[in-house]
This record gives sequence, structure tokens and C-alpha cells, in this order.
Amino acid sequence: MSRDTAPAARDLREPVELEIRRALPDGAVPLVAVRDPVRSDTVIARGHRQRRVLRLPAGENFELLKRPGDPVKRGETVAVAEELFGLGLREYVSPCDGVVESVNTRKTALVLAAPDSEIRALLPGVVSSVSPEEVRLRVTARRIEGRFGFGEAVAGRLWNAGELITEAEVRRKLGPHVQGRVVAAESLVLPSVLPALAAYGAAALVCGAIDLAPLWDLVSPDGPHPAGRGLPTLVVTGGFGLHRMDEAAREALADAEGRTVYAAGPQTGRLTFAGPPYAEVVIPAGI
Amino acid sequence: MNPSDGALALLIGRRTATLFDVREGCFTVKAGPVEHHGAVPRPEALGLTGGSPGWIVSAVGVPRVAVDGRSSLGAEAVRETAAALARQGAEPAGPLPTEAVVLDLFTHELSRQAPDALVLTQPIAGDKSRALVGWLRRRAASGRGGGRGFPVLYNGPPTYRHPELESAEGCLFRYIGSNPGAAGRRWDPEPTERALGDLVREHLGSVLEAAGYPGVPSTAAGAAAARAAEWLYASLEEYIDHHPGGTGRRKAPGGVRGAGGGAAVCVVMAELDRAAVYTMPGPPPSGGPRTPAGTAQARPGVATVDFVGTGTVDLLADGRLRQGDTGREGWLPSWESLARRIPFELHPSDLANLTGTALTRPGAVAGSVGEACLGGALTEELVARVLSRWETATGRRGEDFGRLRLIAGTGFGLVRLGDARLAAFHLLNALQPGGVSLIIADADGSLLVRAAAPVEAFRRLPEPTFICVSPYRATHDWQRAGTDPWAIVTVEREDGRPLTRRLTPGTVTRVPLAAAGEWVTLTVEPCLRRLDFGAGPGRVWRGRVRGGEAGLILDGRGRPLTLPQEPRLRVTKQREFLAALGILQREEGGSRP
Repeated sequence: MSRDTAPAARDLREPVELEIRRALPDGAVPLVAVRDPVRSDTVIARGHRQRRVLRLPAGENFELLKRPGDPVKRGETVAVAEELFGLGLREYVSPCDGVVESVNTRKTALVLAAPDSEIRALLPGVVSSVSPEEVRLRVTARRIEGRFGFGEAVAGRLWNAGELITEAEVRRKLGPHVQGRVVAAESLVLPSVLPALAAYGAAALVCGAIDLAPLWDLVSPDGPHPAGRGLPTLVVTGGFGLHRMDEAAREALADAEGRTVYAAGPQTGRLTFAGPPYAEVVIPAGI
Repeated sequence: MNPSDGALALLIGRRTATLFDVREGCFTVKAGPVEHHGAVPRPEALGLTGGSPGWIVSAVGVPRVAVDGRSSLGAEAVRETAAALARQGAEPAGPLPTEAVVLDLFTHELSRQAPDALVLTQPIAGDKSRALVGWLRRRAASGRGGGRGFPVLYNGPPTYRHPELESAEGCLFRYIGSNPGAAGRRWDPEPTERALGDLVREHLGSVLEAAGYPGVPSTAAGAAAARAAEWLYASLEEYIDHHPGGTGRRKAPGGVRGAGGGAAVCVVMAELDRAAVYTMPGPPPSGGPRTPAGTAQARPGVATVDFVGTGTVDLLADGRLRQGDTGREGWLPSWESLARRIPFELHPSDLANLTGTALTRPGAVAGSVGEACLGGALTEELVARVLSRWETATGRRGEDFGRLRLIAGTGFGLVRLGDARLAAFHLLNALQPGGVSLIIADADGSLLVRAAAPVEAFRRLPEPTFICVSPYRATHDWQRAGTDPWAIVTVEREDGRPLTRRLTPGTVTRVPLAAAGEWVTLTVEPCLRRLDFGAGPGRVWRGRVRGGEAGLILDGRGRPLTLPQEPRLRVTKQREFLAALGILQREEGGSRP
């Protein structure tokens, strides 16, 4: 099937049976079996979502304040080192919430794992396959396929924001009420919407179109949010520039107002323009 | 396989697949290009219900290989291994940490990259070795990789042993033996090539078999591109027959300058979002030993480039890990740089949106000349990126790409432009060869299947798209108009009628030839003593060249290629160039494409 044929229009008119792939992080333990029914909040696996490395100065001229197994918060000091013959003190802080997993033998790096987290189904359905890499769910739903997107799989109640084109609209419409929600905007949105949504704790943004140049400034490797880290999940249905959201997609989102929907980028922690997989919004049937 | 009965050849690119019907050396497209979304298309998708293809060239299903050992311990080994990797068509899985001290990150990075095989270019021991053994054990226990063993190829010095790895559960450890391990002894590339070639063949064969092509001979696309470079290099005399000397005005010291060094043949394999460059060396400077035609190996540009994603850019490059990060990923050209490569004026914001739209549809054919020009500009940027990383990636300093005699471009990234002349023009802009060079833009994408054909009778050389004449080093001042010519070019056709044209700075002139493949005798007479067209400064270049479908192009844009700074003049000039090539009509020179 060519990608040119209105991707958003597929699987939209009626709910169809879909297979949703939920990738598991390395070392995660699946907690479900094939043919198990799951709800959105069912825990399907348990494991670390990510690990990060904190470089320490060579020469062991520092004191470790945390041991392997200790929980840490983002910004918390995990090591201190003296500088300038004791005149200065340098602090090494944790770049994320999590647990100190290990310190290497030469004591030059400290590995931090995100807290052991529960990976939920996010969609009601039936488990169709389980492997160490993924859990596949069979769900009955309508699906909007995005042309571009990024971010983790999330679920939240849908809120249709209408147009979010101007700064005034962004200021007027966005507030604490978007926390945990999947926000849908009909046409072009300003990329500055994303940090605003992140500040209010929104789960995802679904929009018709977005401008690539300012978005790239945000999510490029040198930007403040490389590969979209720290931003809500994004699903762009139309493309870059001036595009309206497809009529069928708008109708499907309008029907799902207030219901819990699922949104996911094509790959976690990586930017890709061309799929598969593609960014997607899945609207479960009958809830 | 009987050549007189014809055969089918299947080319599976990264985004599209094309089925060719091959009869008496002629390749015609039977099905496709079919977009396959990253998986080997089933035979039914290509209309293959009865028979099966005679051979397959595939960029999908090749193993992803991680290379460990970027530290100074194994710099040569890393370079040689990575070059062999590209030459055999395997795909680099991504960078590994620069330093081996972060042992937990080593296995974490392996998990993230999820390679199909690991090549160690230096010994590992102690904690790192134990971490790898533990990772392999966990992988085997979890059933990842379908229960198959994980190949670990050791390419370091032979004095080190790895008993833990040799006996590790789920590990297929193999010592390659290219590294002699003693100072002063030379690296032997043969065992590495053989081991990686076997790895690629086995992996690709099993993927194709699972997709419904059991027992069909297959070649990885990268290996086919390297073979194409070697094939074209061995056939160079079928394209250009150069007899230097002639009526030189000024004798260059030490024989003919510019005859040695630099690459002579280059194959560019381009998709819209990825490019790889393979070169063959030129003849050595006079007096040095000459490589017999057909015996040299293609030298791949190891730093294949993706626009966004895999991180292969960072393989062997000087990118450093940042604190708290596992590697830099993703790259796009600057909008300003891209804007300078297209023949129309666009606001950077519009250009960014058009680029993003094109990148989301890498398997789509360009719908207009403007879209095709943008696709070509993206390919130019990719090739420029490969070349800018060339030194770091290959360890060959100061390689001169201006001495290329033959440039061949293939891949859906060029096919999708819909015009071989436009594709050739972008290849010319990307590599900027000087002197007399031939450009081949593969119109249907059949070059790789031609090069990988198992029967000699199926291999027919592709026709050139055009011949380009340009000085090696000359700059044009765009502010000055009506400058003197750089050279007088005389074309003698086979019927004996000479045709004389002036190569004028700031212009691109096309001299049509009677037919593609026609041999012409070319005489390039420099008008300035400093100008070098391949026979040395001020000397006349004379030789026989095989003409292309677009004829002969006299390129007066200078080398390195410069364009006017003023946007409107730049756009006008670029449209003039495209009009000279026949891509735009003359009257379109001033209109928006």
C-alpha cells in the first residue's frame, strides 16, 4: 500500500481488530500470557525503562554519597569532589529519577537506572503474543496513522482543543486542565505548544500539521529536547506546513472526546521520519 | 541459468523493490518499484506466482553488525574492519562507547543497538568480558534471536585468547586472523572479507528463504555496489581512452601532473535518506607500480549517512558521548545550505516543511521538477556529508575526488527523480570532478543487479548520461560578465566532422551528440596557462570518450563549485544550467518550476 494514500483515513470508519505492539525494554519481565484479557491499567510487564550514565572524574578524587541500590531524585547530589586543593567543591548530580544500579570498577562512571516501573497495557484487549522484546495485544479500535511523531506510548482522556495556531490561542486554551490528557488540535500548531503542554503535564499532542524548522530546533541532537525527550508524545496526521487534519480523523477524534485513547510515536528515544512503524492514535471501541 | 532464455532479477532497496526482466543483456522493469516498508516483499507482491528470480540484490535482510574497539588499541583494525563491513554489504549497527571503562554501558549499548553480530577489533578481558558473557547468557535464556547463536568475530591480535567467550552459552565465537599482532607486519584483509562475507550471505539467505525465495543466489546491496565499482574500474577503457601529452604548450615538471592520486571511479548508492560512496583508486603517480585492472578492491566510504536515526554517522567519527547520553543521533542539513542547492527561492521555513514532507515519503516518486530538485539537493547533502567524514572514517587523508574519471550513481534516491540528466547533474554537483569525466545516472536502478549478475552474459555496461569538461581548479567571479573562455573544446565525431565550442566561465553549455554510446575524439585546449584539464597545467587534453545521452557538458561554474551569493542571480543561473541540460525548457528559465 502506498504511503501517499491518506494514511489517516485507514481503519477509521468502523472499529476493526488491530494488533498493537508494545515494545519492552531490555531485561523487562512480562507478566501476562497469551490469550489473557487486559484492561488499560493492566500491568503487562515490569522493568527499567531507561539507563543513564554519569561520568565521574578520573583518579577517585571524590566521595560517593550513594551506593548501588540507593534511590535518587533528579538533581540530587550523588558525588562530591574537591577542586583547587580543597578551595572548591564540585557536585555531581543525578540527571534523572531512579536507582543507582552500579559503579564501574575503575570508578569513572555511575550507571543510573530509572525506577523499576510497571508497563501497562494502555488499551483494553487480549494478549496475542508474548516475547522478551514485546507484548502484542489484539484490540478492537479505530486507528489514526500519523505521518510523523515521536515519544513513548501513552494513554489519556482526549481533549479536542480546536485550533492552536496563534500564541494567544495557546495561552488562552492551555492550562492545568490538560494534565494527563491527549490534546488534539485540528490543523497547524506552533511547535512552542509542545513545551507548554509539557509544563502542564499533558500526555500527548495530536495535530494536523506542524512547522519542521522550529520543531527541529527543539528536538535536534543539539536542541533542548533531543528526539523529543521531555516533551509529550506527538502524532502529526497531515504533514509539515499548512495541512488540515483529515476529515475522517477529525470526526473520529470528535466522537472520542473525553474518552481514553492511546497515542504512540514510532520509536522511543529516536527520531524517524519514515516508517514503519508509524506514529499512531488508537481509539478503543465501546468505552 | 541459460542467458538466451532470459531471467528475472530482483532488486530490493531500502524502501522499494524492482523486478527486472533480463534478456540478452537488456534490463527492463517487469514490476515495481513497489514500496515494501522495510521488509522483503513476498513473491506475490511482485507478481511472481510461477517462477522465482534468477538472482537477488537486497539492502533488506543484511546483518546489522556492531564494531567494538574505537580506542587507540585497534585504530587500524577498526578502520579495516569497518571498510570490509561496508564492502561486504553489512550494516553498521551504530557506535559503541568511545571508552571501554563503562562496562555496564557496553552491554546496555549492545542491547540498544540490537545487532545481529559483534566484531571485536581488540581483545577484551576482565569485567568487560564477563559483562559480555553475561549479556550473551541472558540473550540465550530469553530466546532472543530465535534461539540462534550470536556471532562474535574476534579480529584483534592472535596472542590474546578469550576462553570465556569461546565457551559462552549462545556465543558463536570465531577468530578471524587478519591482525598479525606484531609491529611492522601488514594487516591481511582477506580473512576479514571472507568471514564477513560468509556472515552476510548466511544471514541474507535465511531472511530471503523465510520470505519465500529459497535457494535464490543473493548479494547484499553494499557488496553489489562495491562489485559495480570494481567492474566499472576494470571496464574504464570502454568509456574513456586518454592519451596524455598531445601538443602541450608547457611541459609540466615530472611528467603529467594530475595523473596520479585520487580516486578514478566512484559509485554512489543513494536513497532519499541515506547514501554510501564506493571508490576505486586512480593510477599511481608516474614511476610507481601500476595496479592491474580488475585486481583492486573498492574502497567504501564507511561513513554511510542517514538523515535521521541509526547513528551510523558516528561510527569511527569523532563524536564524543555527552554526559548522561548514550550517543548523538540524528542529523539534517542546515536549511540555508539546502536552499543554496535548489533552483528556486524559498523561505527556510517552507523549505524545511517540504524537506520533512519528502522524508516522510522516501518511497514516493517526485511529482514535479521542484520536488525532484529538492530530492537531488538532499542527495547532494548526503554525499557531501559522507565525503566530509571520509578522512575520519577511512584514514585516508587528503583524498582528491576531483580526479574522478567515472561517476556512477544508483539507488531509488536517484531513480525517484524521474530524469537521469537531473540525477547526473546532482552527482556532478556533489562530487565536483575536474578534467574530462563521465557521469552515469542509473535511470532504472539496474546497475546493482547488473554488477551482481551470476552469468557474464547478463552484464552489459550502462551507457553514460553525459561527459563533463571542467578545469580542476578555477574560480569564477560572478560579479564580472563577459570573461574570456577557459578552454576551446573540439569534438570530432566518428563521421569526421569537427565541432568547436568555447568553455566560458559562469555558463553551462551542452553539446548534443548523435547517439548515446557514440565514441568521439575530444580535444580540450586551455586558454590560460594555469588551467589543468587532466593533462597538466596549460597542456592540451586529447582522448576518445564514449558519449552519453545528454551529450557533452562544458561546465564553467569552476572548481570548487561556486554559485552567486545574490539569491535571485543564483536561482537564475541554476535555472539556466538546468535549461542547458534540457531538464527545464528555455522559456521556463525564469519561471517557478
